[in-house]
Amino acid sequence: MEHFARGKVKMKAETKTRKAEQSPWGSGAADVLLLVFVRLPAASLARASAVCTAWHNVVTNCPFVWEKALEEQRKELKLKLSQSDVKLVSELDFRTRAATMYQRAHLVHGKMYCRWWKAHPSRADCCHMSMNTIVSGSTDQIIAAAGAEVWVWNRNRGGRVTHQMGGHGCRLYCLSCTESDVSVGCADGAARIFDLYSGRCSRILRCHSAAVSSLCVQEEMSVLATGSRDGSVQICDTSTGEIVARLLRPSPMREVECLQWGRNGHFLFAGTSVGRLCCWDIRKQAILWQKEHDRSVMKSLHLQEYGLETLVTGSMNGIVRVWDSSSGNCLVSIRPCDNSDTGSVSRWSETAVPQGGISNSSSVMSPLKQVPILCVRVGSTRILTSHTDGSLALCQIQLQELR
Amino acid sequence: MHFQGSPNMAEKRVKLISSDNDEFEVDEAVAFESETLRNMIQDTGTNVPISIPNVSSDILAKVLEYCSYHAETMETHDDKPPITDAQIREWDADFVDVHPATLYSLILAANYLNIKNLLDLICQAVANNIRGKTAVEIRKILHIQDDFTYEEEMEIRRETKWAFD
Repeated sequence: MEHFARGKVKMKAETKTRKAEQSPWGSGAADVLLLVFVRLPAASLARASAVCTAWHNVVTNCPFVWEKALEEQRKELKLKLSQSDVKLVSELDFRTRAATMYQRAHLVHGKMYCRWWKAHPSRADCCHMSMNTIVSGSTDQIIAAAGAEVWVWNRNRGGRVTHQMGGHGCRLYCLSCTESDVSVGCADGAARIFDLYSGRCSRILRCHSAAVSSLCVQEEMSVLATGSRDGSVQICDTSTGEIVARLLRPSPMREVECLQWGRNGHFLFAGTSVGRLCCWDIRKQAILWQKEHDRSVMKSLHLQEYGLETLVTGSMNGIVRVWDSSSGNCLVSIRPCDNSDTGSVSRWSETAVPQGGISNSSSVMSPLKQVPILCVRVGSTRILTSHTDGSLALCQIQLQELR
Repeated sequence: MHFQGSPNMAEKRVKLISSDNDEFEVDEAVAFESETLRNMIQDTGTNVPISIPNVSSDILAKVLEYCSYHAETMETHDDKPPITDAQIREWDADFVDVHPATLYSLILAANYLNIKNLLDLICQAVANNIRGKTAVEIRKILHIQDDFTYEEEMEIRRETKWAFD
């Protein structure tokens, strides 16, 4: 036993010197890292792959860890969910399935914590979130003479306005954001594409007779779907500006309020002013399904590239609905900032705005019920909505541990 | 295990030599916790010292500390109350509460010496440690340097967006 005692003392001394050195984990051997990685649920594995090059390579080169990760996640979700009714399409790879399941479980079974803040003096027409950046667009009554504007905030920089883009003088109806561009649909029937970094207008696509009420970019095929007040839906090539397809109007024909692309650009979803949600199969140029729950104007719909099975819509009656995008079934209805649905304590009155704060001037206000939703965006664990009164609401969704 | 409780077996001692040429002497039962050592002992007997060239003294001491504790928990003494599972868990938790560099070496050693329980314990401890943490937090915990270029970082962010969103 003396040996151990001796060893212990020695080790203490060595650990001290080691602390200054680089940890072996950063350059860890694949087999050691795998021993740890197979014990991680999918979301943690995805984060681990973003730690350093060695870790990323292990996760990328060993696709089978995703199978284990999905299994681990299923175990974890089962611990947290009362019913494990997260059904998945089997032909997807394990990572996509894990992402879809993670999002679906949160949206359908999670508990919401809403934060609500005033972002614009008037209507907040559109919003977008990507990791920790929130973008919102508004028609500002006070500076309307100078033209409508797009505001870009960076949440990490304490909410300073990064760019103000405008100059065309028409009202904006919709906004779609990619890595480098932001596309906006304008009242004059044109879609304008701005460069996100320089703030300049790079292309104007004139495609409708009435206001472009919705648009959506499919980056891979570089096509832009536009929907208009006149009820038409068109698909344009963003590089040439040509019209690629004109789609059948949803019946009954009404204003198209919102559009989103589905998997691989094969599907296109649209919400109309009578609360109808349609799904087109682009390959056949035919309507796949149509559903409606209430006749309230469906202002916005969104789905994530990593969770194409789950679709989220926002309506003028202030309700957010979660849909299954392949069947068109409505899974859940939520009213942001009204936590009575989930039976939890309302958290919106917290003075803190999300990480880093949005703006010094933005004041936290008490929410009004049924504030019409103009735009909804979904992440895997949160839903962002923008409202007619210029406010934004961010619902963070957490899975509760079952007792 | 079958060899426990036999008095003449417990007397048998095994000599182990680490990569730093330090000699460790342990009960055979302790060494038998390792599948690799068990095979070696069964092949060569206990007379010859066994050299373990890829495990350093400090790590070997730590491994043997684990082995002797767990060999001890298997034994039944009339005068002492048996060690409860809760006590073992507590001891294990204390055992893995060391510098991440040590944990890494321990995994290598446990892997080489084929001590399944120890390997499971450490890997699970590391996994639990990084579970639910962000990449930045993981780097901090395990003292890892962020070696991505800006472009790589952006690409990876896109790939793993769902886990952060």
